[in-house]
Amino acid sequence: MIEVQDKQGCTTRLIVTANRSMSWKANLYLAASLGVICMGVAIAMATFGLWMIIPFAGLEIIFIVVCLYLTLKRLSRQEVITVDSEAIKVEWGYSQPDVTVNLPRRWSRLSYHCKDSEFEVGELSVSAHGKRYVLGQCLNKKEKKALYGELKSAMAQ
Amino acid sequence: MSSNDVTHHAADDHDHDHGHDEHGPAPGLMRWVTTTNHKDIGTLYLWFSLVMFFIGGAMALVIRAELFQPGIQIVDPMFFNSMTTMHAIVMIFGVVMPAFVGLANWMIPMMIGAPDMALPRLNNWSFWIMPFAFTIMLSTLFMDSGGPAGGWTLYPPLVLQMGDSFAYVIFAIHFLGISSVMGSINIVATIFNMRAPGMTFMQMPMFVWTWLITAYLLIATIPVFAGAVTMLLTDRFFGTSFFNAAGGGDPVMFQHIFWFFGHPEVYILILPAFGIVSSIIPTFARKPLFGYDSMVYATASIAFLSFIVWAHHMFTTGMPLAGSLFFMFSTMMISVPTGVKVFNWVATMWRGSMTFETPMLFAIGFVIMFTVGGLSGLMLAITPADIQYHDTYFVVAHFHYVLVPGAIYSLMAATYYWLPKWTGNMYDETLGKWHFWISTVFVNVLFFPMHFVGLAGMPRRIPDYSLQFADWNMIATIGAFGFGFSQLMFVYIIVKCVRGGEKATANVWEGARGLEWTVASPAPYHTFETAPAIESSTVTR
Repeated sequence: MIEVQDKQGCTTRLIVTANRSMSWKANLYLAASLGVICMGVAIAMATFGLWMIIPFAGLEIIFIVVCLYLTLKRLSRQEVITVDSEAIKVEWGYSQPDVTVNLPRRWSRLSYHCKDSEFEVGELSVSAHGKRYVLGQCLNKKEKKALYGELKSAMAQ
Repeated sequence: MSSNDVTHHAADDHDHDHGHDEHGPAPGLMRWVTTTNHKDIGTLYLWFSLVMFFIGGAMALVIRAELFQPGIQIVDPMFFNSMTTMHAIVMIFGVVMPAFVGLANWMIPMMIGAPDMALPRLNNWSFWIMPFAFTIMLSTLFMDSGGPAGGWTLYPPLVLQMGDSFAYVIFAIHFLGISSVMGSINIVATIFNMRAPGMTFMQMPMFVWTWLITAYLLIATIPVFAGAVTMLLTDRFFGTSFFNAAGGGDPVMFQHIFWFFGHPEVYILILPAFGIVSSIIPTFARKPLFGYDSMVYATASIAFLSFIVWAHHMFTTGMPLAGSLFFMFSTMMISVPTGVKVFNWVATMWRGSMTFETPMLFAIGFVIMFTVGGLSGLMLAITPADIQYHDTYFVVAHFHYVLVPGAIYSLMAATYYWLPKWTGNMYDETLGKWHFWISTVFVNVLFFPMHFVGLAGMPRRIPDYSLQFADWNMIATIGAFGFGFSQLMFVYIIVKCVRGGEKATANVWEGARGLEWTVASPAPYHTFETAPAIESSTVTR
């Protein structure tokens, strides 16, 4: 998903994220509901002496929590591209950037290549001074083209 | 600024390669070993289940060949028991469940507009665990003591008398359970977190709904089964007495926990089939699914009821009258939401502009013959009647009607329905129709006589029987071989379609709805890397 957050004057900010249909809080409720079901069954069985179900239920709940956490973490990753009069700043991270790249705007080159194949979604990248950075990895062909268009117009200003 | 300025703010997470964007599949065989693509993994699951279908089917033919005539003719009784046990395990855990997971892998991301499953690497692991587990399981047949022969229900104390294969079977069951749990959590995480923007729960296709509920059932019941088989293991090797009466344990307790897992397992095997049929019938009736909301609630109701009916498998074990009545009435209640479903499928077809392509034939076959199985199930729910029917071929007829023209037919319907989307080629319609009609004739020749011999008192799981049952058994065996060999047509049709044929359009069937039909045929290796926007008016189900 591409969100054009800030388009004023000669500064444009684009936020690229993967689609996410449920919040962290809702996922917490989901994990809790699954945990209650699993552990409820296991505890009920344990009252009849079949305690050995509890460790398996516990392991499963831990596994569910880890899986949901990893899913959400991956879906929460953002790519923030800020284009102003002097530079192009690309930041990758979750709640705050963990990688930041600053490129001189006048020396930066935007490119989009896509082979003529259904297996390919193409590659959008920005490069300057011999270094190249891939943008919009979570996007499809159509969206990459849209991001390419947005960035091109921002860099042309 | 004369040079690039790169700052790494955190050292803990740099698995995102910003300089490399490889998107095609890996070349050669390694593509299938290392793939994390949901379509590849779906394909692996489907081929695996097809292979297992023939392995499990061959076991069924051994059983039916032995039962062709009274007396012991072909195999010794121990091997016969191994065949009945392994046939059930293979068909349940190696055919129906993996095939539904394969369909889920292929279709759920496309149906909800997601680029892939939520946890692709986990997805790869959950598939590759299965061939490993089944290799162990099947290898026990070559052990000196033979394979497991106590029935798929693994009841103690009988199962504790098994030979060396016991530990291997428990080990394999644990791995199959791990695989199922991994797959289920992946499906739950995908459906909750990766639906296209605007796609509400009540806009999800029925196949997605039924799989979501199935995943809940698996998550709730697999730890119970894992615990139960582990307790068997400790009873056998570590001197515990969970189910050993001599040590103060209770063997009947195992039956309770087994069926607490086992009955929801029955619905795990059939709920996705409901979703498939709910997708196919509207397409070929060219009408929206009648009563979508009630279908969703009926599925949830069936899932809930599946947890409170387990002891109907144990009426003859003995239980207090109140317990017997409770489990009888709760079991009979399942017929209400199931009836809602059958009514809705028929109402969808009512005055529809129907055509009868192969997927529709299998779907209609499903509705009719699943209902036959459902009605015999209702008979078995009645406690006093069940005491008469218990452990007879009537029960075998009942669950085979639900599972073969039920679950297996839905899988065949799904294969014909989505094969053009998967391969980009149309299958041979004439051969497909032949496959349906031959299968339908033989499946009834195979299973319908079992009602008669069962009502007449023929017990199940025995290699020999009284002369009075001979005729119907002979007919059933003819049906078994006819049905078994007609499935070679199925393989031929699939292979022919994969290799070429008339090119399929994106929207293969004119009445088809849903996001999966908006992408090209064959579906591109990567679909919906960015989710499509769903308006409230968009038809997604």
